[in-house]
Amino acid sequence: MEFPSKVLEDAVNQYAKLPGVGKRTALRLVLHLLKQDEPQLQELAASTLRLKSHLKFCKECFNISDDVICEICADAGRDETILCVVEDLRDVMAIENTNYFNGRYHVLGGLVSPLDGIGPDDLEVESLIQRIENGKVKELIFAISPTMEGDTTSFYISKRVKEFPVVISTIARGISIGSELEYADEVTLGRSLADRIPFKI
Amino acid sequence: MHLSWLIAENFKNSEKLDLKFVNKFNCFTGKNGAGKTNILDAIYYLACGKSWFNAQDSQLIHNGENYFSILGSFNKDGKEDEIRAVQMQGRRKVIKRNDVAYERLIDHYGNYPVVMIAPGDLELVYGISEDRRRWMDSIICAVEKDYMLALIKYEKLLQQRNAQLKKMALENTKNKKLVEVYNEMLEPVVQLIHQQRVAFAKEFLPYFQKYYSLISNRTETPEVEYQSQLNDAAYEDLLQRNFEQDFATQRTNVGTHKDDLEFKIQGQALKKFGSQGQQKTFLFALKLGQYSFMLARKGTPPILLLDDVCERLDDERLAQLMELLTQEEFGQIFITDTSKERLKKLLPKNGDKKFYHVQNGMVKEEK
Repeated sequence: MEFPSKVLEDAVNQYAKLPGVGKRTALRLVLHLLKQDEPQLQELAASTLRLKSHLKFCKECFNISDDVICEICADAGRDETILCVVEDLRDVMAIENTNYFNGRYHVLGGLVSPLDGIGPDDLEVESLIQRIENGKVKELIFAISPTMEGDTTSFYISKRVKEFPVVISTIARGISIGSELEYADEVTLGRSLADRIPFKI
Repeated sequence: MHLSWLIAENFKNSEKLDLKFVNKFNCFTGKNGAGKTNILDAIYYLACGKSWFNAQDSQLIHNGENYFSILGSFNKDGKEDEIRAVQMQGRRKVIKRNDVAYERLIDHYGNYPVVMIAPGDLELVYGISEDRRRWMDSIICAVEKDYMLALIKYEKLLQQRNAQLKKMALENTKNKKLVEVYNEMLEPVVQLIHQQRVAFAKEFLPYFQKYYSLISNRTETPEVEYQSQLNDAAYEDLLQRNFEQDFATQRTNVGTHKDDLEFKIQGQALKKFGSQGQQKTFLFALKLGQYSFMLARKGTPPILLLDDVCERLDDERLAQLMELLTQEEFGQIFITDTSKERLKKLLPKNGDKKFYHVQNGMVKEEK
């Protein structure tokens, strides 16, 4: 792509680095920004910068937070004996939206995948062990995507915490509610049959 | 099962193919480079969802065009199944069965069994172990869906384990915990692959030996031996024993990715001691054995694709082979040859057959 301006080209190249954004989309975004007034652009730049300068990771659960301790960890009403182990912030938001969980979280910050250069030491695994060592945690719930990387991560953590008296559970896998059976893939359906549960209304 | 008709656009060197087939012998004749093999490959593609030549799909598009499509109808127990395969430049390929796209392409593989006999088969004798594993896998995958899923999972886990071994070398640590996690995750997958291969080798052998003696007219005993490190050691022990080596070489040195098939005649290695004639007979017996194995497991006769076989067998063996193929066990057959006269002489006088002349990617039906 040839640009008539170096300034324009630099901006497009920066936006094209974002996930899911190609050069054409980047150009469209940049041309849109050109039409905005200066205060709006100032605010965009400032809010982007504040991501680095003001955002913190909660010291307890490593979720993204404005304070040293996040709102969930600071809430005395939430059960500190149950930890839900998740990959990242998006999973915390998804589970919070269900209103089904009143325990606390531990955000790993990724999944184990040596192919992508990510080992357990690059994740918040040691800090999880620390929390368990402190003695209050009675149950870990793995709420991790059922991919190979997810399974590897769960497996690794379960090996690491074997010596501690904690119960480990994982969220159920199977047919999604409200969907039709015939559309379920074979692996999911097979697993749902193997792991069937007592019927209740 | 048979293929009733086929329409292909922009597949390899032909702009358009529009062919109706008979249920037994369909013969394509023409000069070298006319495009005979491509017709067989189009049929193979439709049945398997990929080219027999392991080519990238985008490379199969006719020069200067931006897509290819193959449409055809398989008749299985009197029921017609229309399959459509479309590859557009830069897009994911789509395969549809009766106008419904498969969600996963692997669900297509094996539904319409097909066996190809082609000059490239020599790789089975002379090639590396991967060639023989790939051949064995292509057969087992067609009859066992779990096996295909296990192979995919094995490949991914192995890549991760190897990456971890590299990472350990890079960081100069011998912390084995994550490698052990991969070991335990690999265990059930390796067991399944190994068991299926053992079962295949056992079931396949008598089919293969039957055809070897039919084609060769000799009493020597040919063997296909499945070799695996897992044949006489537990996977867990193998991994334990080899950890230092794995660590040093930064990759996994034991497992089913090291398996091989050994071909022997009277206990001697075919590659080293077999005559050319023995090797050819062996290859045809392997492929016809594959045919019978798939027929038994699928319950429908596979489609047989014979590329340039007349060039590769002497007259006596060729006559023997054609005699075999007219038997009822064999269903629909597609043959290519440079000489129409030779093929006409070889095939039975009466019987269901059709000749097509191929020139510059164009096909004309002959009366």
